[in-house]
Amino acid sequence: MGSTTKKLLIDQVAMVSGVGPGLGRAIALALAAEGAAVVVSARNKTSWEPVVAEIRAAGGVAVGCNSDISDSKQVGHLVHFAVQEFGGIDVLVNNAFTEEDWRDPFTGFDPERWRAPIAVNLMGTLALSQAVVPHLKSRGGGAIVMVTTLSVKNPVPLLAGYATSKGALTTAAQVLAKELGHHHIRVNCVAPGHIDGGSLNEYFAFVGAQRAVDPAVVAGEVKSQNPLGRIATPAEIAPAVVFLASPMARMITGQTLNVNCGRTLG
Amino acid sequence: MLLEGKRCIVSGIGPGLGREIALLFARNGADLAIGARTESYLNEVAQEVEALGQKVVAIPTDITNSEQCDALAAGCVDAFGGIDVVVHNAFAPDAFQMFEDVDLDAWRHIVDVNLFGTLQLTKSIIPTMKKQGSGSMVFVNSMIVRKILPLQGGYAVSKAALMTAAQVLAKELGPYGIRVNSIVPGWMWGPSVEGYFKMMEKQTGKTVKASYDEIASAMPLGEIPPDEDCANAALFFASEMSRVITGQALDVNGGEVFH
Repeated sequence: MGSTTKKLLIDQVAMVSGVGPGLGRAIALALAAEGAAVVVSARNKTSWEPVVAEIRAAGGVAVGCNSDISDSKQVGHLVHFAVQEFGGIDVLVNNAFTEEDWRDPFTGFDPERWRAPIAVNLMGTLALSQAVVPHLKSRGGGAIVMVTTLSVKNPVPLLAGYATSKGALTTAAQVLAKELGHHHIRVNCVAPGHIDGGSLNEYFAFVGAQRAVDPAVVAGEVKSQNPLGRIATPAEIAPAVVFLASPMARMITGQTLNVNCGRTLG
Repeated sequence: MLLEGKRCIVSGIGPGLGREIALLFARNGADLAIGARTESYLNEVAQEVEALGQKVVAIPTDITNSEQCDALAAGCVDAFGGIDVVVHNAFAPDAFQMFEDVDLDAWRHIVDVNLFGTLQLTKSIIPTMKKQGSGSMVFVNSMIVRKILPLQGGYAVSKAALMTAAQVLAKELGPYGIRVNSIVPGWMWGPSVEGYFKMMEKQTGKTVKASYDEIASAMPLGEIPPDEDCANAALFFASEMSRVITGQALDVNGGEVFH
């Protein structure tokens, strides 16, 4: 319970979707470091395989499985695989997501563009959650953590489908919290802001090109707008997920925790 | 241990949440400077902290008194060489009167303690944290700011102001590496609420169990969160686990209200 040197997730099985080089990796590593056996997944083995190797090299327990969460057959396979490997599931971290082509503005847009983020971020996440719930129930409870985004409340232009899908997911998480609470299943959201890494650098380059300034200028502005004066790394965001997944948050459900260096207050 | 070697101030040490926070922090390796007006509680908790093998200084403190706030901060610095964490837990309860009947001096007192008292102690601590270039402040807020109830206006108003103040401080102090967050407990199962339910039982015949079940039924998790679970949220914000989190409020309420 965070009250001793004991690790937070001993004897727990944790599943993380969307594990690649970014936040998914950091979350998987952090869960494993707290003693959880971790099941990582992504559409491609090349994404999750190095993370499994990294966890094992650090003395942790991990397995991986390909899964496209927008395909219900693959979702079923992933959950079956996890239960086969580790005998059950205690924690689900819904980290998988997709973005539409965010370079196009809303004006004159094709609503079809929103289909992918809604299909993956909302419906795919719900399908995986639904498939995992019976296993959480059979363990007497568990935790689901949705990775959402600062864009739910403070969207940036051009990312309408992504922001909308995560907004809907936030509401879905609250409904699940109400419906599943009496099974001792908790459902919470972690909303990161900017996350240091390759995708963010791409974004800075894009905005820099639009404004004809160096990407470093854009990055500097973002940092200076954050009260803590910097941008969080994946490894710094992951502990918020671990906390909500752990018994430390035993009485917390239906909440959103913003992890953004103070960019928005809530 | 999440607070190994950390120097922590906890105000408002009583039999409930304050004590739980102090003991949880001690079990996580923190040394403590604890304050409260009532010395008997303070000394009891100090002994419990020592029994856990941590250092402790107990300093009688009324947070509405600026000299006493300075003394609590100085006591922590003198004993341990700095201040890494403060948990603002001290509060004044409500007058439990309707607005149209209440003497506004009663509300003024509540605001004096819950807002200005807390800010006074904050002021006493800032120079030390600023010099260190680091620190974590945890404000204990209340579900009353999410779910307004009649008869608790003074308390609600004071805590709402405190919530905004915490956000202002997060903005102003972030550049110095100081984080400011709030925990937002709802009903908490501990000596205070249990005592209240027992009093109800005597006065009205409604059993403690009936009261408990009625309150818990509004919570998806079906359990009134024990003090210790609220203390764990304070521990999270106090620790490096939340190093990139500031200006946030985390509700610990069994799911009664979502934020």
